[in-house]
Formats: sequence, C-alpha cells, structure tokens
Amino acid sequence: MLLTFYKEGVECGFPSPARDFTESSIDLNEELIHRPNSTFVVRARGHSMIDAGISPGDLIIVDRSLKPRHGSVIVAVLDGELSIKILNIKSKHDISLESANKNYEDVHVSEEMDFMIWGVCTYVVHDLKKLNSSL
Amino acid sequence: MKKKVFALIDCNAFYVSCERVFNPKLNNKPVVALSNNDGCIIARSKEAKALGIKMGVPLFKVKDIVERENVIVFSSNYTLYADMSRRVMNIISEFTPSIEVYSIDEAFIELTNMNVDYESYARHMRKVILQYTGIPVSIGIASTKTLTKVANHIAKDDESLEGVCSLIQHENLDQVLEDTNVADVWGVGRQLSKKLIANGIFNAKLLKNCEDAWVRKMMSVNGLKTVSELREISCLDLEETSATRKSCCTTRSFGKPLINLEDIEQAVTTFARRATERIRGENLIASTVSVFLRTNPFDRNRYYSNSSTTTLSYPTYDTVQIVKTALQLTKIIFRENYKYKKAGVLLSGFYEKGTETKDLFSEARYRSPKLMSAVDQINERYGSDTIQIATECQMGKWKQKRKNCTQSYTTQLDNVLLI
Repeated sequence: MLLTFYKEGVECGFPSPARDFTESSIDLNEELIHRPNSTFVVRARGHSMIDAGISPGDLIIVDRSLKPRHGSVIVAVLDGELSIKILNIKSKHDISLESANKNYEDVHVSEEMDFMIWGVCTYVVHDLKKLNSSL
Repeated sequence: MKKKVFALIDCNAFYVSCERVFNPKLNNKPVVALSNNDGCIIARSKEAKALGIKMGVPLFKVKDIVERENVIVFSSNYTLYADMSRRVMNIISEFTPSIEVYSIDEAFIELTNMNVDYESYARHMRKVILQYTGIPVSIGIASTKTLTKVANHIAKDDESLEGVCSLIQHENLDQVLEDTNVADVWGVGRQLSKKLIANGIFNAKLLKNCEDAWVRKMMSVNGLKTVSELREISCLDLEETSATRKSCCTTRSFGKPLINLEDIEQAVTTFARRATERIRGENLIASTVSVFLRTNPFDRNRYYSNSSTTTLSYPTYDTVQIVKTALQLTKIIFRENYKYKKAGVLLSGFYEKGTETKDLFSEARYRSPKLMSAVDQINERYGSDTIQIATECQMGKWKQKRKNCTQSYTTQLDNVLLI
C-alpha cells in the first residue's frame, strides 16, 4: 500500500496549505519494475542459487524484455524445465548454465538440447523476518 | 483518396499459449482449453488441431481422442488470460495509439499514416510481443479491416510466412479471395453463409463480384460494407468500443487530459456502466473486470500506463457490482500528477445468463442491487463471515467445474511460478 507523506504536517478545518507540499511516495513498483508489461514475479524453490543471494522462498522479479548477457541471472528453459541459472557465454557456440552453489554442476548447453531463455532476473525480494525466526 | 492500411493482430491459440508460457513442457504437445463449466473446447494448439479436434466441440465427444493421444486439457483460467491479454494489448499500444481491442486475443491497428515498411514493422511487433510475453501472434495487413481478417488467416496457416501476411499491393488478391470460403469472411455469419452458398456464392471472390443491389437485398447495408471492404474500399474504421462474445471493452480518449481521480472515476463509471449494459443486452454475465488508464504515449517524459484485473467472486451483469469493482481497480492504478488521456473497462470471462453456478443469492443479485448493498452493509457491520458462506459455497462448486484450472501466475503472489 502506498502512503502519502505530508512534509508540513496536516491541519484540520481548512483545506490544508500543506497539500501543495505533498511529496510523492516511494513506489517500489516504479523503482523495481521498469517494464510492467514484460515483468513477471516467480518464487525460488531450491538452494542452487544461494551464493548469488537467492534463497528458497525468495521472490524474483523477471523482466523478459531485457537482453541476456554474459553473467546475467536468467530463468532458463532446458528441455521444458524451468530453472534459475547464471548465463555463461564463452563464445557463440559455447554456452553453459551455472548455479551459484558448488554442490550443483554446471550444465553445458549442447545443440541437441531444447534451450530457451525465459527472462532475465532483475531483483530478489528476501523476507528477513523469516530468516530471524529460523535462527 | 489515400488508401488506408490496417493490421489485425491475433494471438495464436491464445488460452493454450498463456498456459504454455508458465509450463513450457506443453510446447509441441496437443493442448486444449475448455469453456466455462468445462463444457466445450474453445482453444486448441496446432497439435490438437492436427488430431482433428474441432473448435467448439463438447469435451465428451472427443474423449476418445483426448485419452488415446494424451491431449492435455485445461479449464479456462480467465484471470491469467485477462492479465496476459492486457500485457499484449499494452505492448501493441506502445507501437501505435490507434488500436481497437476487438476481443481478449485480437486487436486492430491502423498504420495508414505510419511511414514504415508495414511488413517489417509487423515482424518487429510480433517479435517484441513474443519476447515480452511469450505469446505468439499472427498479423494480417491489408487496406480494409475485412481483408486483414483474410490476411490473418493466411498468416496463421502458412508457416513459411512466419506469422505475418500483407495483402497490400498483392499481385493476385482475387486468387486469395477465391481460396477464402464465404463462411470465413468477417461479418458473414452462419445463417448468411448458408444463404449465400445456396445462391452459388461459395467464396470471397464471388461475393466481391456480386452486384450492389443484390447484396443489399441479401445482406442489408452492413453486408454492402463487407463487400466493399473485399473490394479494398475501407468502410469500417477502428472502433474504440467493441464487443464480441469473448470480451467487451469500452474505452475512449478524453477530450482534454484528466488529472484528478474524481474525474477519472466518473469516466470509468460511465465505461463500466456501458460495458455492463452491452453484455446485459446480449444476456451475458461477466466474471472478470479489467480497468486501464494511460497518459499520452507521445509525452515520453510523463508517460504512465497501467491496468488492473480482478475476477469477481461470482459472475454478474449487475451494474452496481461491476462499477464498484471497476472503481476499486481504478484506485489501485491511479497515480497523482499525470495527465490522463485514455481509460477503459474490459469485461470478460462470460457466461450466458442462467448457465452459471447458482447459489442462495443468485436471483437476488440480478433483481435488486439494493439487496447487494444491504449485504455489503451486513458484511461491514458483522464481519465477513456471513457473506463468506455464500461465496465459499460458490467457490466450492466452482472448483469442481474447473477441474484443470492453473494458478493465477501473474496476479496472486501466492500463485507465482515456483522455479
């Protein structure tokens, strides 16, 4: 929910002169979602991206309009399966998908694979309250 | 007079495509989506079409094929489809402000005054829509709206065209029209096509060459427009208000920009009332309401465009209910300090009145909006429990009738994709 912030305080009775000083509120939609029409929210399931700051249960903002680059965190589709990976482009024909957890192996994208990039991850929303309660 | 240029952008097997975006495993498999109450098949993937599953057949009639060929069956998820539709339509409006949202999955645009190569422009638009939303579209370009429908059919059927077909300066338009069944001509309904076929008019070329007087006698004034459009004479302009059975959209650009919420609320109220009146006239009730709002897209510095969609807890054609919902949605998307140029209300998820799931309050809802507000007051005073009983009861029944409905991937945080 967005709250309006009155810099000068609010008076009763008269139409407040402070109205003129209303500052626009902080809108996370505006800050975090640059292209609403191509932006989707997904939730992380496993631990494979833990070293990139993505924990299970985190919300991830994905913008499909962005061009994936070397090093982008992406939502990949490999043989119909969706996963979050780091895109490692060594050359045009040498692409691998890496996890951010050393317990997971990298996946080299071969030509037989049905590979597609679903979108580029832009932000992570991590619930810190949950983190504290689990300690 | 300068010839006009129109394009029809039509999403391919839209409901199926929406499901595929969130479940890529469905790609290259036969998939169908069902109408309300899981009755008939209303969307088919290419693979399902190839199995001979016809549009509109009741599921039980093709049960054998479905089981034998492992056809994947979905109940309609209108919340998802309306949200994906909104995205597609918004992206199209960023290309051109002259857009007529014709149904949940189709839009006409006018390209007359755009100084571009129409085909490559359409290709680019198609690529952007596909990348941004995952929804594949076909685009038909022609000098009249009726011909864009023909072009769109060709774009869909001929895979080598990669989704775009232009009939502008086509060297053999007559051949194209000859290959088009008269029943597939836009504006020629089932009854009329029977009449035409009985008179030897089998295809669009024959229809095009009919004499005006005969056409007027057979098909009335609208028919004459259709025939003129086949002759590349544009008679139908973009309509900002339109209705089909899939959705009903009322929208208008404001005479002068609106800034205040109150003014926009007033406009949205009118749009919602009109859209509701329209569906009531067609004996339809809606289950999904969307509202959109935007500033002038050419004012790049202060451009804002947004929309919001909700599924009603019960389908209705009650004006009070729909207006109220539309106003709630308006509040959600309204931002201060913008000069709004356009707003609109889109109703979708239709049922024919009488075919929806009934509950205790069904009759009362349509008869008396007063009762509805009384119920709301009770709700306010005694908490939501009493109302919840009716709603939950309906939701329970609802679920049974939507056996294979996917989540609201894009509109509910609890329902987003788990990856």
